[in-house]
Amino acid sequence: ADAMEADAELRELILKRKKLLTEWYTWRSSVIAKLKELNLTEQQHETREEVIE
Amino acid sequence: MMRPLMLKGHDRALTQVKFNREGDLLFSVSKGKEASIWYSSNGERLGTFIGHNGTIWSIDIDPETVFAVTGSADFTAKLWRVETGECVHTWTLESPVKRVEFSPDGNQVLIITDQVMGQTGKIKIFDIDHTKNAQSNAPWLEIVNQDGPASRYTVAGWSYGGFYILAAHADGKVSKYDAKTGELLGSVKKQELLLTDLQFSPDRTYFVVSSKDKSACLYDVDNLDLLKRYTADVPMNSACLTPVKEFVILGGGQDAREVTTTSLSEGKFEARFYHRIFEEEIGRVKGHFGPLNYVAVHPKGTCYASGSEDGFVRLHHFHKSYFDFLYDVEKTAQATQQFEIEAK
Repeated sequence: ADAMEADAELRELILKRKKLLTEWYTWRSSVIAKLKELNLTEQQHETREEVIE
Repeated sequence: MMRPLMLKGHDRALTQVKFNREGDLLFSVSKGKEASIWYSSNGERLGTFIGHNGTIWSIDIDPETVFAVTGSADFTAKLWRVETGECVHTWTLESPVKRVEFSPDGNQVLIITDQVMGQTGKIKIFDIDHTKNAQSNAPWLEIVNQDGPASRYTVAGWSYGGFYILAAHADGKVSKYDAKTGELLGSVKKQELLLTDLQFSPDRTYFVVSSKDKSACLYDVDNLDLLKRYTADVPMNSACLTPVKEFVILGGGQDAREVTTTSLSEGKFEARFYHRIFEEEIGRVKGHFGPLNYVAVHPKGTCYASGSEDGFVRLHHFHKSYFDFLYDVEKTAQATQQFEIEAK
């Protein structure tokens, strides 16, 4: 919150990034839902399960 | 940031490098006549595929790492048994082969034949029978370039489910075809010059296309919408999408003939990392002394490989800091998400 008040430009940038992030993950959830309907999510699960040490 | 391994084995410019599905093996092809297979963990060479008579432009490995396919300037594509390194089938085409790629299930392969010497450029799809060595020489489907040599196919690949083929053209255009019928389903042109590479997200629902126009563009498969654009200052030869992290890796550099007129340090032979969602450059990795012709990322996102005009493959394993890196808004979003999960 401090950073938000410190600088108007930075605030703009943070809000823009927030918006981009929300847009991206909203779109991704719709795509993943579609893949689930098509039964095509297996490969993705494999990738996600891998834990990086 | 990272510990690079130098893979020395090719004495000519690299054209493509590719991991198998598990990521334990790295395959590389070059303007020499041999393909190489390496262990991705330590960079040791496991073997070679010997049999082509010219530049090998492209290589791919099936999902089970049983077969590999290569495409060459010698007018052939070859099928190899990975375990033995033996060539089990050769397709003879009417022009040089620029790109090869297995369908996601490994039961088909697409082969791009170049539009040169009076031949029309084509995407040919062949069935692969895993129960035998010899394969059919008659393509199952042929998609023919309708738009003249300036718009010839340069690279292509398969979408999720193997439903669509996405093709990049020499004039900056991207086309989408039905992989069963070959019907053209749509085209977009958001880049100006030759498209050099097309690589998919891990789930194959979107893809990144690099261009000589110094950019890379991210498109979604379903609508061919331009999602993101990454801008560089030199021509780009390759781009890939990192699993685990929301990054894009770009590789390129001034062409050799242009570099000789300036100093070597101005070639900008670096792998560039961009944030996939914010389109901002976040880091560069130096090391090559020629343009990067291809970048590929490990399927589990633990390392990436770059193949260069300088004849070397560099394999970089990511350090913890790479995985820790997040923008503040990403940290906040993750914390919020965690809070919501706990609240439930």
